[in-house]
Amino acid sequence: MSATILVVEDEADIMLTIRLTLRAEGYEVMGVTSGEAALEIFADCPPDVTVLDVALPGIDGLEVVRRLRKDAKHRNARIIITSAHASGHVRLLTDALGCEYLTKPFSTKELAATVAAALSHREDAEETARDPSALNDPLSARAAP
Amino acid sequence: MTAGPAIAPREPAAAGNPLDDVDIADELAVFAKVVAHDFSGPLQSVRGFGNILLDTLGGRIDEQERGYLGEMVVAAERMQALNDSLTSWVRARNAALEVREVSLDLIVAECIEAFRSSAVERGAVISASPLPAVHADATAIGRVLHHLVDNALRYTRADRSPVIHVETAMRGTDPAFVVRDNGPGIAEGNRERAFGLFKRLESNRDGGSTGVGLTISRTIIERHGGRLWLEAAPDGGLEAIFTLPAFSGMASGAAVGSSPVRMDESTERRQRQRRAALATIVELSDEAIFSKDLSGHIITWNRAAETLYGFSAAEAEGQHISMLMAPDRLHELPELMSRVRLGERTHLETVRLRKDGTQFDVALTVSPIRDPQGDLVGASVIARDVTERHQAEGDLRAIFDVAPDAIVVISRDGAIHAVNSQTENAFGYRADELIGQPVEMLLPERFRAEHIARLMAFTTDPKLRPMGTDHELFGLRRDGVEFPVDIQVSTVPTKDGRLPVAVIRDVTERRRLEHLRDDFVANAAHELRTPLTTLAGLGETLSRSFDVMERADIEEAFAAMARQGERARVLIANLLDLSNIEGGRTDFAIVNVELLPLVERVLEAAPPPDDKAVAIAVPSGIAVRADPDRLAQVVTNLLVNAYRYGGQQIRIHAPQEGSQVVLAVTDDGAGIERDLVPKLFEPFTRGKAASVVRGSGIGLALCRRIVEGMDGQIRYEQIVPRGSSFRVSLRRAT
Repeated sequence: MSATILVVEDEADIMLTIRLTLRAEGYEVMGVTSGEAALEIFADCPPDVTVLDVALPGIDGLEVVRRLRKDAKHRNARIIITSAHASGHVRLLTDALGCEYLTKPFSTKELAATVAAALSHREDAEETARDPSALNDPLSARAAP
Repeated sequence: MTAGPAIAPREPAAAGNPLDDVDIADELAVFAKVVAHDFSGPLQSVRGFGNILLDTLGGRIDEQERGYLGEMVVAAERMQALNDSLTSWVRARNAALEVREVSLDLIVAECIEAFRSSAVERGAVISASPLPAVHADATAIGRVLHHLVDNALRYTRADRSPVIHVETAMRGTDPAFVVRDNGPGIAEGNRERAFGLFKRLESNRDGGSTGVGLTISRTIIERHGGRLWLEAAPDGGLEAIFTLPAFSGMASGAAVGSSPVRMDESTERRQRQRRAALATIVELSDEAIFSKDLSGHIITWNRAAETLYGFSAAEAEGQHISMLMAPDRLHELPELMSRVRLGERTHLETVRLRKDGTQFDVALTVSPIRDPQGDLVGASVIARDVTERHQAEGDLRAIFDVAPDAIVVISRDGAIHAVNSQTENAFGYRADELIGQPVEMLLPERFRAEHIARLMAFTTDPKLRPMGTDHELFGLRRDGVEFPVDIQVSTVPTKDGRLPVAVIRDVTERRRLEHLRDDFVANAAHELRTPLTTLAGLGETLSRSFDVMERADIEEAFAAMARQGERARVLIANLLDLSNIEGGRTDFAIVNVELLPLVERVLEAAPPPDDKAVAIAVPSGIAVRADPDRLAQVVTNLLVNAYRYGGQQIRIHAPQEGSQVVLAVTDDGAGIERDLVPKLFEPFTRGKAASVVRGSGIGLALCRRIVEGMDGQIRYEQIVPRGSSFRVSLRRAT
């Protein structure tokens, strides 16, 4: 079963670029254009990795991450922040929120590598965090409260 | 008299005779003195013994012999008179003068009284105009007037009664005293000769004159520092004219003194020369110089004063100083006079009146005048016309005030010394609220310490230096608002020494432009980011994953690349266009352009998408002055904007608006967000709708530059209840 990637991006052709790239890598890709829509996806069917633009209409990318981090279920969600603003404070916030960071414009090769790394980190994290009682249910860590 | 030949040895003057206490340098005078002294005794003997012989021999000699003896005595008496004249000339030359203020009126009156009987005898009329007081030796001047009136009575014409008049008059610029008669006059060539010793004139028949009167008179007048000469009177008579420096200048006012101190003659001569030189200097000075007594009456008045004030000396002298003052300046007088009485010198810049009533700016220096005993007797005034200087200062002040920068002159203690108008405008204070205050009041708190440190450093190393080279500086307005400034500090020479001056430029506009430029660059980079991300990203993905990609995705990728490639192309073309137009590198080929065919051509090239409809309502035959290609570019831009962001019904029409032809592109969409309208024609302004459908971000900015380049205007109008209308006004075709 291939991993599911959520892409949050309001610029149509950037979305297209990310989506086509990740599909070519063999991932399932879901795309939304707003922070609100992203939070709904997390509520219904959390993705394995999220590629999240900072500059969004409505609640922005960083606010989406803050809200997710308050929720124990999504505390360890793997999120890659994309931003055109390479300014220091976005970078610092990204680190503080435990996210990967990609500066726009990024190469799709870089994107694919970052997503792949995030997926493996997720697995490492699940290994170390694994409750012995959940040993036989790898998916339970993701779903656990 | 100094022209006389050396006809006597000097020895007698030094030979212990009774007059050798008088040191005489002039050889003729030495001769005269010796003659007068040495002849006096023998003449006395001749006359005295002659008279004794006449008395004692009276009955023993005959009529003829008595006649001879009588002639001898008369001759001796005549010689005695000559000798007396000589003595009086020597005295006139050498005697100490008692110079004090004397009334010429009184002296002339005494003189006229002295000649009363002889005037009556000759049927003569002697009169005088009012005369001013002068500084002179009363006795000596009395002798001068006596000699001059005496001459006038002696040299008369048989055909008319003598008329003699004494008055003051102007001779050139010199005020002078004139004794005028209606006698035969003297031929011009002989007038100067009349001043020679013993030069008697032909018409002097009565023998009463020794011919030394004019010589003595000239000597006396010259000793006063004046001149005496003869002129022809208007009716053929003679005018004896003399000037007295005490009248035309003021130097002799401080002359020999009120107590008859007999002075060493060479000392007196030097003083005399000095006084004459001073009088000349004063008279010829370019500075208006006048003097007044303690009651404020004008005593002397030089030529420059005449020029400056317009009053002649004759008009000014004797008048009260207040005639030079405008009514609103009269209050200065008591203060000035009281300072004179305190012995103080006063400098004052004020306004004075000319004779013609006009006012002028004047700098006055008022100094007390003391007599040789040290008593205050009046004041001298030096007046300088400073109208031009004030004008020049006014011009400089005007320049100071029109300077676009705030200029603040700072005194040594850091207080504001002077400010220009721009300082008042920029900081919101009036000058009088700033002057004397610490200059830091114009800076926000956080810059004050630095400013003081820099100012201190500046006083030790006063080179032109900008402040805040390492960061932006701000000024602090009176209302607490800060604004960005550049500050240059230099020094200016002032009467208080070199003072620091800060030239403060409000750079709000420059900073705004800088930020605009920075934003423009950032926006342009940002606009290119999406196309480049798409092109590079999809290109990379296609090349890496082409084989595994589904066909639909591949097609979608190519379509997106084409779309973003076109977007980048348009953006760059528009940026270049904008840059060329703003840089004046675009030539507009302005011709008459008919609107309808142009609009139809644009619509054909850019047809509406399926969900939009365009209606053309432009009457045929309407033409404007425009560059047709550029105008087509504008219409295309507006039309594409309407396709992207406008409503479904789009209308191109040409409403009539006065002399202008308007081409409007109107849609029935949601209109432009209100807060965007003011910036609508600036680069990279875009609304919410544009985040979904993106243009280059500079289309409308480019439209405005193009329309303005064709002497037109473009504007946006909100349509009620719905819709947007972009209106391009252009000049009607010719």
